[in-house]
Amino acid sequence: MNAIRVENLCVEYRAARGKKPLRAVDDLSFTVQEGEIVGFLGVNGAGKTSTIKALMGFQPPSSGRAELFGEAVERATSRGAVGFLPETATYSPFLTPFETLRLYGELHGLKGETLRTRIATLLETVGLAQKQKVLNRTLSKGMLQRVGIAQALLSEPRLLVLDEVSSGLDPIGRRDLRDLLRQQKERGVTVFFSSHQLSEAELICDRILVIHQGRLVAERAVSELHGRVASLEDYFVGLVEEGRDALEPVVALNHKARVVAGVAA
Amino acid sequence: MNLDTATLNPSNHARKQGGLARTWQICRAFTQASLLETLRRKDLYVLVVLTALMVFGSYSFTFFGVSGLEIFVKDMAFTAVGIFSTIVGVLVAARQVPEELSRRTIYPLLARPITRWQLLLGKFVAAWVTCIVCFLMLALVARLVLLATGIPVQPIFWQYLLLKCVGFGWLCGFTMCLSLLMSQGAAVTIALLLCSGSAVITRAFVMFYDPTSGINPLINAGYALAPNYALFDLTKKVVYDWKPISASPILFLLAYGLPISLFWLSLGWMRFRKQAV
Repeated sequence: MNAIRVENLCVEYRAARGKKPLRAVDDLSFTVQEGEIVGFLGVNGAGKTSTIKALMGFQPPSSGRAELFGEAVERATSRGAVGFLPETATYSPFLTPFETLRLYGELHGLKGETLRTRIATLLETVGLAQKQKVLNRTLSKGMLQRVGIAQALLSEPRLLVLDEVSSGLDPIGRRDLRDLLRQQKERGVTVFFSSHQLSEAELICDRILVIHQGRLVAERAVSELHGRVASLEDYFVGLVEEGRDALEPVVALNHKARVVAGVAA
Repeated sequence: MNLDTATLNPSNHARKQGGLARTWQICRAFTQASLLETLRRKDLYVLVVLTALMVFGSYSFTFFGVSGLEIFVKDMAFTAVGIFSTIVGVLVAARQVPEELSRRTIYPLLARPITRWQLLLGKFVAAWVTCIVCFLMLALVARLVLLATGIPVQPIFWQYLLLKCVGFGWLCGFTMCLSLLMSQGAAVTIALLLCSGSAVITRAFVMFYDPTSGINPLINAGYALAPNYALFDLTKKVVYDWKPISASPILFLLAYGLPISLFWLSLGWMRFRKQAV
């Protein structure tokens, strides 16, 4: 079953009067299978966050459709099995990490001892057990990001959607996060994350999707890259700056055209 | 990080979105968070102290031999409670959604299996309950100070409390609607202006009312939708020791208060339901 299915998705933003609307996502189609870790890569402004916003129902698509586990994203129930971590979020400065997680847990329909146990476990997991009773305003940016990771995992999701997941984390935090994502994969959780940190993606992804100017320009299994390109970074730079796919040297990529090679959906 | 996540189970937690019990749980969760936030902000305590000081200050004239100040002291007490609770109410209601947007915590909220109406309703109930708690704290302080100074308050006080609580529903619905249509600052300013000028605005509709005119339905509709905040305010009747008013106007105001609050909230929801965040 597809955890994510996106078909001909377009996201446009209104522009000033007399100007054409800005098309952030342009006829994007892809699928993510259950159990995969997929990196959604692109430069700043490529359309990663707009795609994720449309996937999570935060931004109505201009056209096309998106589904989570076969259910249209417009329906609130489509998010029942999804954990989401935004790029940056400043959780209420007047609540503690425990209270923050309790709020999100109750909104997810959890309650009682189940919720309390799960919060305690997650705070331990993200290394905030000692800070569970201090106000969020005393926490550093990295610690708040850990609160965010905990809230994303709170509902024991089948799909994790992470937007610029490692922003704000120190190197140790990033390593721990990688391990955590791998553990989630072992449990059958699908992970879809956007990033422009290519080294992170190379280490943990099964597959990468590269988006540029709102269009999908490459879709590859990471195993395909091994031994054929020097690094994911080289491959990525070739794609977005020079418009060539190093794995298909004969074909020069035109970013205006939809060229997707590699892994079959 | 300790990465022992043995208790995490990747089972599906897709839950039904509807249902009264579910909506109640959402409202309760938001209310708990809103109360904690409000009680941890220090501004409420400043207003409580200020109310007590104002009542004691007005009573202090008796020390200089001025007598017959009961009405004046009561006026000061309940005016302070009215003004401060309105300010707190507007500020609490106006920050419910815009603050989630500015902190970007709206994303993890909307990522839950809840509809935008449930989110908005939960926030509305949270703001309403928070306003009532703040108002009751201020009213309790004023009442205790009046008791300490030996100034009696008539039973109409309880009707005053009840109607004020209903009025805060209108205040929260109206202010939240404004906060979804404009910036937080503009919503606060307009809500405070309309609340303070409420009596004048609604009186204008009464003045234009003419039993023989054909536009009466329009005037009636305008009156119902006008900022009727003052309609729920019995401050002057408490100050001037009125007897409790009969049940029918109270019941009418209760029946009017909830639908009109939900009307304003629904108006805000119409803007919010498809809004890109």
